[in-house]
Amino acid sequence: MGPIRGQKKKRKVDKKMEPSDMVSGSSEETSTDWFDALAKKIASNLDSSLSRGLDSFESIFNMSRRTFEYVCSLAREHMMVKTHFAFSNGKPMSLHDQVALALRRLSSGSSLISIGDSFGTHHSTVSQVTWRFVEAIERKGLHHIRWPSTEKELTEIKSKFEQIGGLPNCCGAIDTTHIVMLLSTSEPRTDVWLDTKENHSMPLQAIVGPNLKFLDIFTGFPGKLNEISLLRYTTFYNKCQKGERLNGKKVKLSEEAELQEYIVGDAAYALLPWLLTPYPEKELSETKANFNKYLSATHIVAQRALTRLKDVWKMINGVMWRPDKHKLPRFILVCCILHNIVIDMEDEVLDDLPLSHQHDPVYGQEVCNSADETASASRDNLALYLCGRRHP
Amino acid sequence: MICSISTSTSTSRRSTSNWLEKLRSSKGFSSSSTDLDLEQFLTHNNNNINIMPISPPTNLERSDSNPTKTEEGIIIENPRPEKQLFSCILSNVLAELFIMGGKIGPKKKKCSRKQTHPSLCLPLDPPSDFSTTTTNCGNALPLLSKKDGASPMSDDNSGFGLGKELGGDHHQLKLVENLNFAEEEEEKDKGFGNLSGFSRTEVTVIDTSFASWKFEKMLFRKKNVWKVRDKKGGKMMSSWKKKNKRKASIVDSGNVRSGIGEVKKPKILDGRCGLSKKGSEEAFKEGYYENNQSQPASRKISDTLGEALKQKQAILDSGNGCSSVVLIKNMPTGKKSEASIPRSCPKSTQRQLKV
Repeated sequence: MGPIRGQKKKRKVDKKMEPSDMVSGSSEETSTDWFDALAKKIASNLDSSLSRGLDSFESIFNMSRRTFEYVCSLAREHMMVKTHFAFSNGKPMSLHDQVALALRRLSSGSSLISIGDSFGTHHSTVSQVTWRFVEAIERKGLHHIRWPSTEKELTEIKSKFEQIGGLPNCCGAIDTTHIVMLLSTSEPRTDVWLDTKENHSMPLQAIVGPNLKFLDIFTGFPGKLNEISLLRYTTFYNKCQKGERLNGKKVKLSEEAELQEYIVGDAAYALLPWLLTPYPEKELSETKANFNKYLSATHIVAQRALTRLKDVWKMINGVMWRPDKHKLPRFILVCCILHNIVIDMEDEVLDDLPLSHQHDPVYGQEVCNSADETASASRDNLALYLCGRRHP
Repeated sequence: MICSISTSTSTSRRSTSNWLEKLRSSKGFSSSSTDLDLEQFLTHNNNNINIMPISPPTNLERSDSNPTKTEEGIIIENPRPEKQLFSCILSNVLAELFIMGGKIGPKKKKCSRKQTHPSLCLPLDPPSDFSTTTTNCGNALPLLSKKDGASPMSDDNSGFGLGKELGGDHHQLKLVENLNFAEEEEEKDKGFGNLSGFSRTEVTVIDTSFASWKFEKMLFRKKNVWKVRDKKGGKMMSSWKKKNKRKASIVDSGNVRSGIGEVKKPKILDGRCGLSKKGSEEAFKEGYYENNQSQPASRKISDTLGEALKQKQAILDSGNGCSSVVLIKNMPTGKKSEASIPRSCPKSTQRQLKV
């Protein structure tokens, strides 16, 4: 009896998958039809004021159709296992519908109810579909966030950084942003999530490449930990300290001085041999001030990347209302993966996005005075080297 | 019998009245007192009677639990004293026979305390199985002594006592009901023991530089001091297991030194080992992990419990069920065995009998 039942079930699933496959066909024509239908649905379900500006594909999903199709292909396997998601009128959701729903949830930052209303489905369906999408992208899209593994990749990154900021041998820029939450007062031990600005937040630490792509992210820890404390708990830090990362070719600055691979951070980070930070003093010599300019010009990529992340994926922007703190890091991860996918696909949407660098407007600049002696010497050597070039 | 006959039926009333009339006439009382009730009659004529060989039947019936004067003039609180005395004597005799230097005087108080609920000392309560070796019992007893002094009622060998204690103590209850949960508690207590005063926060961490990019951590915070531990397993678990292994090895070595070697100690324990909050917990931990050294910690103990219960039941079936007897029956009786009893065992037994 058991196997027969299973077979019946399987057959049912197969039958259900047929129409959805038709809807989610990869042909441009089918996709256009699907979007037209969806756009009409959204327009009919929303007020004219709310639906204004949602007339094009890119404005709704913050990505081109080509990227959307790629995202669908990543999510297909996981999301089509169960096909019981349906609109309020009983019509089953296709893969495109589900991905569109999830992307809309992540990109708009609107509530589950308003998203559900705009798509004509229940808010619980929005929640379930979005979570299913998160799981799918985690599984299939994680390779979009990775530290460059080959010498060629690293060389390319270094040369791009040198073009941007003039810093030689730089492999990345590190920065941290806060995902602000509103937690219930009845929740136990919420004080650990209170950051320096007395907001409940979850910090996201990112190491960014020259094209604003995330090379490494770390999140999930409470906001009470500041930047330098957070960094110490990361695998990236441990690997660098052990010499397993940023241990590539050294650049000769002078006959005596060499510069190892490094990343750049702002004043909130400690000066380490592999992490260069600006001179913290207020009264700076010309050489030091010049170095700070170079460094700032390079570090801005991290700020821009985080600003873009929050601008595009508005779910993690603003104040999240009582989020599940175990799920939130995974939402953040998926937003970062989608951010990288858009860059990897060389999406034309990127051209239209503003290049702001205020990802944490409320949070001021923290200063860490900790400095490694070797790193100080390296920084001085680099400052002298840059002073001779006068590039930025 | 007299009592029941005298009060139950109408026919018995007639016979009682006939008997009274005969008694009255034989004693020379007037027949006018026939209207009186027997009680009234007796109270009325109490002064006239010098000796009452048998207390009035109504009195006995009504005051079943009240103190009653017997022929010997001993005041007894309930109808159980004979059993109590017998078992007390029996346990003393057995104690003299089997315990070296453990001669116990016939202290009425102790005996009566021990025998108030003899049946409840049966090792059928699962918690008593938590410690399966007498060495564990020995370890547990020092923890018991405080309780003994604090509350004589909690010292009772009763399952009710245990039940009460379990009901009162949430931790202990968890330990009985859900061993996996108890294991978690244990992990927390032992593994994070040095982190008292720290607030704990469970977090899910995403770290893309790490091979398994998603994992759970336990954060401990005390003001600005942060400690990060793996939520499960890792160092904490291993150190905890190591500790338990060490304990177990000490116990094992103790057994070998005392000549027991691989011979398992009797599985039936002093009831109080299961009773004591801390004692039973300690005994459980040690017993459990000693028996499961080569097995994963998550293994359920129910099978072990079932076996132990069967064994105990078999022993009980062969014995008379009295708590003291059960305990002593499981003690080694031969001369060799006597010599090889671990130090903790006689102490525990003595403690049981003395306290």
